[in-house]
Amino acid sequence: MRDSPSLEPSAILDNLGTHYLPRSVQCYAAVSSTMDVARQQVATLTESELPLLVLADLQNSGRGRLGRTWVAEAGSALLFTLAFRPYWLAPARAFTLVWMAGVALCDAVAEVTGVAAMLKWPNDLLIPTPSGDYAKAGGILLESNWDGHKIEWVSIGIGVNLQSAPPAHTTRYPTTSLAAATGQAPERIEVLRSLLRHLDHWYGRLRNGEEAALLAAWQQRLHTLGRDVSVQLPHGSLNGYAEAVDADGALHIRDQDGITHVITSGDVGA
Amino acid sequence: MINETNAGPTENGDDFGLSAVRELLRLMNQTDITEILIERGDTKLHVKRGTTVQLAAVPHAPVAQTLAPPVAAMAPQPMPPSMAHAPVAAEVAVPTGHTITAPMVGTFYASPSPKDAAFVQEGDSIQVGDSVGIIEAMKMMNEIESDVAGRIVRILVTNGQPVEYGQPLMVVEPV
Repeated sequence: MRDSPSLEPSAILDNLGTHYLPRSVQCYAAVSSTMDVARQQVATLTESELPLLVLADLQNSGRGRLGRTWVAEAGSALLFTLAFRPYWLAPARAFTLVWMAGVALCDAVAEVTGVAAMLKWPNDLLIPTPSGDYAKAGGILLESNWDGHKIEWVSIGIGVNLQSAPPAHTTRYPTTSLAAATGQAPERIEVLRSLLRHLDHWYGRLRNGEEAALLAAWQQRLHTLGRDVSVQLPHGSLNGYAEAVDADGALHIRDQDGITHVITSGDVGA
Repeated sequence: MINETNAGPTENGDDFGLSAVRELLRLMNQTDITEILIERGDTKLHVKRGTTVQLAAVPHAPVAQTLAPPVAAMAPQPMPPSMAHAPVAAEVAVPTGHTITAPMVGTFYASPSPKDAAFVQEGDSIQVGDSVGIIEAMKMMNEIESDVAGRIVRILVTNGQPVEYGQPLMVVEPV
């Protein structure tokens, strides 16, 4: 099933108006994973050819955090990876790209659909449902490579459910699609171009040293804060109140004994 | 937490692996562990805390702490600030080698995903550019490559363990 036409690089780039990204665009009908393609390509492309955008109608082995599968019917979702070499970015602050991707995705969806999109810590796209709750409509995964001296490359993989969402029993958090939330799925290219502009905006500001402004924007969009949540950790789980994020983006959870736990990695549930 | 702008990797010129020991002592001082004994092959590392721990300054207010598995699954207790200054006595024998350190704060993973085998194990030979682990910072998976060729003589972290900036991850005997 193909719900939207395949995208062409020229249509993506035409009058896009971005300063930094992308410089190369590759569109595929089907790939194993846009992350895998980008990983292979980024090692061989010259600096003038980066950032690279890899986009696919269908992923046969799409993946999320910790090797989890990411499933979407062909053309029903926006699936792409943006890869670049951010030599300007200190490795210890590389996670600011997590904020950048989350804020850009949130704002692009809001811009195109009018929906009040928010983020589940750290960067899952949440949109309101008719029942008044929020459900996940997109996810972001970042991969990078540290060669012992510098961050060699970074890939930002983004998937947005446009037409449909995975069955509820297959996901850890309630899911939805932009079509379910708005009654009509936006055009894939429209969401993509808006998202590229928002990514470009924050990429430029981050390069310009405006990390504090990005942190503030990210905090404002975090639906997680001020709620009782359950967090799945590498070893066990934690229930508590999400009271804050710190300057490193770590989530502070206060448990029932009043002890605050600082979380840098984990899956936040409802 | 180490100040990320001031603390850098410490392996340069550290022929005796002292940076790894120093980090171990620092981590020990941040927990209520009193003794660590690691024996592998011909090398032994034994660290024991002194017994004169002052507990008078236990705070009544909650304090922040980083979850350290498997403690995460249990009921954690506030850490007395005085513990950070408890005397530590150490008798140390660690392998000589090149220390691979964490370039960022996060969670260490030994394999690409839970269903995959570990990138490396102690005793493995590695080349420059071989992946030795992943550090996740939020949802950013940072693959760590070795910048030396050699044999892995010691892995200092476990799967799912929180790591700090500059923390030793493993010791490599260069070839």
